[in-house]
Amino acid sequence: MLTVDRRTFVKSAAMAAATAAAAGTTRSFALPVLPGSGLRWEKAPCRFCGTGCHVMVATENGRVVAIQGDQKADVNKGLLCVKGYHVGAILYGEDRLTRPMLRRDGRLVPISWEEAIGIVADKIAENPKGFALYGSGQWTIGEGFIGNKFMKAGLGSNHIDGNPRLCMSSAVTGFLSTFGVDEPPGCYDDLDRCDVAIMWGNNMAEMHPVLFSRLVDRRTRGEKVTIIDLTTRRTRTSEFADEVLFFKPHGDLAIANGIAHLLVRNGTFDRAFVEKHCNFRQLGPASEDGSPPAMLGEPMTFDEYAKAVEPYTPERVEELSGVPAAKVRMLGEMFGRRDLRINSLWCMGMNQHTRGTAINCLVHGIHLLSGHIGTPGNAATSLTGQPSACGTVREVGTLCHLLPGGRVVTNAEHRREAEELWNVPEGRIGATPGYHTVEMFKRFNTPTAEGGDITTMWVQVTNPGQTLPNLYRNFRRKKDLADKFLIVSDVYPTATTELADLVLPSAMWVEKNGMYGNSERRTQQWFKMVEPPGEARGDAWQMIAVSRRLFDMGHEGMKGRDGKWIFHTTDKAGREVPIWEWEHYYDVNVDERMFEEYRPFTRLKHKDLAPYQEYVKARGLRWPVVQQSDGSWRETRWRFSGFDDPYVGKGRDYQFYHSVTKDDKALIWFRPHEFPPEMPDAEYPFWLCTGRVLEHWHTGTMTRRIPQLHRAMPKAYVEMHADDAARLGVRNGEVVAVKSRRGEIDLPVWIGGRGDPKPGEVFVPFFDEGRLINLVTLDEYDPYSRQPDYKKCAVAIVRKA
Amino acid sequence: MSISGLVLTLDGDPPLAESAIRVLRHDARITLGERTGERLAIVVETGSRFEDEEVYAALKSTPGVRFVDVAFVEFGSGEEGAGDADG
Ligand code: SF4
Repeated sequence: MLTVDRRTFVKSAAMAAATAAAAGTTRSFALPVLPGSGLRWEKAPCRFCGTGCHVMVATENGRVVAIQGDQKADVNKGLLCVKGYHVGAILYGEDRLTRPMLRRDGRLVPISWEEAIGIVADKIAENPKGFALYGSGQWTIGEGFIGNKFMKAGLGSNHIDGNPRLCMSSAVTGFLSTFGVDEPPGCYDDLDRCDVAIMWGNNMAEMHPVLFSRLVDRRTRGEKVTIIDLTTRRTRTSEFADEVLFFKPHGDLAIANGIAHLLVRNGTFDRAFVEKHCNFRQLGPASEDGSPPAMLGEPMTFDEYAKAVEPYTPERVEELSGVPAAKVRMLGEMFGRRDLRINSLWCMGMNQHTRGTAINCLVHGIHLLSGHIGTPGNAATSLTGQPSACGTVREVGTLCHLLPGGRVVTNAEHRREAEELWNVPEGRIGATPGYHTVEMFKRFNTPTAEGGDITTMWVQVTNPGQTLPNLYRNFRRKKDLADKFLIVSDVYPTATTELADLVLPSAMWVEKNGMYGNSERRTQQWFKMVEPPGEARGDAWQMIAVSRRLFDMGHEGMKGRDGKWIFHTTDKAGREVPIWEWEHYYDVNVDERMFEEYRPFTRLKHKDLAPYQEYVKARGLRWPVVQQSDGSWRETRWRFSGFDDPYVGKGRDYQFYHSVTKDDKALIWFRPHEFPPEMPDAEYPFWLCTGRVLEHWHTGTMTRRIPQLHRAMPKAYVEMHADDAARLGVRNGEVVAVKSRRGEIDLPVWIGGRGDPKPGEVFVPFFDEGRLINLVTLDEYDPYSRQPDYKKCAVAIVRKA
Repeated sequence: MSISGLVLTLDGDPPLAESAIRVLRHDARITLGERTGERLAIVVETGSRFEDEEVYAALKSTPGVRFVDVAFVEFGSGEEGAGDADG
């Protein structure tokens, strides 16, 4: 119970925080500390989405006791969404995993860490090439760096991938194809400056609520911001939109091509910008072995491009997409105006798409063609769902084809540089990409004798048992395969630990040191504030301990050029610190050591990071962060723009300095509209789209343990249009079977609920581990990003008897 | 006991915003703070986090309230620990 004094004190603190946040950044605000209490406030980024809000965390007696939006943070200016509100409570679920557990006779039984680490090391040593590591956009930068080094520089294996493959790898291939380098040129400041915000299949009000309120709040200050919601179903975002334009699934490519068609036909494209800064591209022919054409395509002239977009008249676009021709013209006219600043925003709608790379390229293309890029408010911005999908997976390169700092394993020079920086012998890093997510799990779920060459998998900080598409095929088969061994490091029991052979209890969030990188290239840092429960230990330590065990077993890969262990760490006096022993892990700041080892990797692609200690002082810094003549470190808000980016040549307005064509020009792509691989038919007449809800973060393993969030959104459902429900004779709340060619689940129907699909379409959220919609989804993926399409497949809705 | 500091973004339509404020004034658990433009600072004090969440949900659906953002939350020493997802 709070004492009266304390209550009065906390109330006034709460009011002061709210008043300061309501007033914006104009007021100074001191964090409350009750005299005599042990309360301590420290900064950290929120543990949930890729927005990267900062929170202030209060701890007392070894527990997190209060959370406050961080007034000093540019991203959220003191505000949080409902998930951020509860971020402290995620540490205290009743069923936290607190001991390593091994499956014996079908049951998980507690074992010691000593034994657990030994089992993992033995499994790897048995068959190093059959071992795969599957990580996450929730890995901290340090954890990702350790995992990548352990696999690529230690085991000489590229079988490491991460769940961002399932959420944003199409954004990566879109940026690479267009600019030759990953991640958005702009930043969140564009939200404060744009005149028009276009949501491309993006329910920003629920998925990135703090950013959405930052945008919509401008209206309350009297500013005019036009919001256009291009969507397949009505969502909370639609409520704030000036125009809600419904399109047929996969129709987005037609819309983008329609805008390009109008810009060319009306002569309203930005000729000067295009001539100076752009080249045109299209895909070449498919190769004879049936593999897709090369991702970087073939040059085309402007005239060829104009001819390619010619068929995408507003009327044809209406046929393909369902968006009325008049509205297509409206979009074309908007892009044709130089006086409007346009910010396109997208997330899973464009990325979880069998044409994900293509639609990403097309949206960049219309911004380039119309010159709506590189000045404040003019941007094409992809948003990420996880707190460090960018900082860890994209930048540190924990995907099967990447090396840190934007390097790729297929490039001999990149491998040589990485071997040099990691101080491992030449030739250690493999030249062939490892298995991407779907392929990795397919092989793990295929009998070894039938080509399933992945035999041991270690999954950290993610829940593929719920998130993989077509779960029967890609995850559940493992249950019957005795020679496959699944290791899972996590904080709570999940659909993945359910099939695990070994479960390792992990520390989470402020129970460890960490760094994240958010959607606007902002790298953030925090310190450990409380102890993890029971015997839980950080994922970084777990990998380090296994690596050391392999080193002690004589594994050659765990040795560097000098014969020392690849994670050899010394104190200030030069004495080795045994960081593989938990009791000594925090004798040094391993996170800082790893970050300083990682920093030199970041310069090749001009993603420069500042020294670790600069992030200790800041609320994140956006790369490239470059040292000034006075010794200070300056972040970059608009990359490639002469007025802000230090890497743009003197006197130049723009310079796309990593251009694919090596002439400082970006690429405008033509990619045609095509129909998706599976479409509704007589047997499966509905489109199924899956996604998230405001209250739950992804698979709900954390948020479903917070009673308030669980109560607010307890179970999954199937949203359906009222006309379809009437036709099928289905009532609101009635349980129906949602069936596809791959599987089926039972769900209650929600008519006129939070979202409202169009007739012929249904929507199901994926947060509910009791109702796994991914038993139904399709595992077809984009040929370049290898990202599956969770937004479209054909299902039947069947009334239960 | 649960205390939180919230920021409400009120509707741009003044009568609607005023009607929201009238509703809030009648709730003894809510203390109104300063208003800056459309943004209003409030403190919610309830007997439990559960009740706190109920107030939060009610605020979100109050006509005249467009957004509810959180600036501060105190959840004490864990007497109401988070639960276990029940599948
Ligand atoms: S918007 Fe994202 S980062 Fe911000 S508080 Fe909510 S969940 Fe956390």
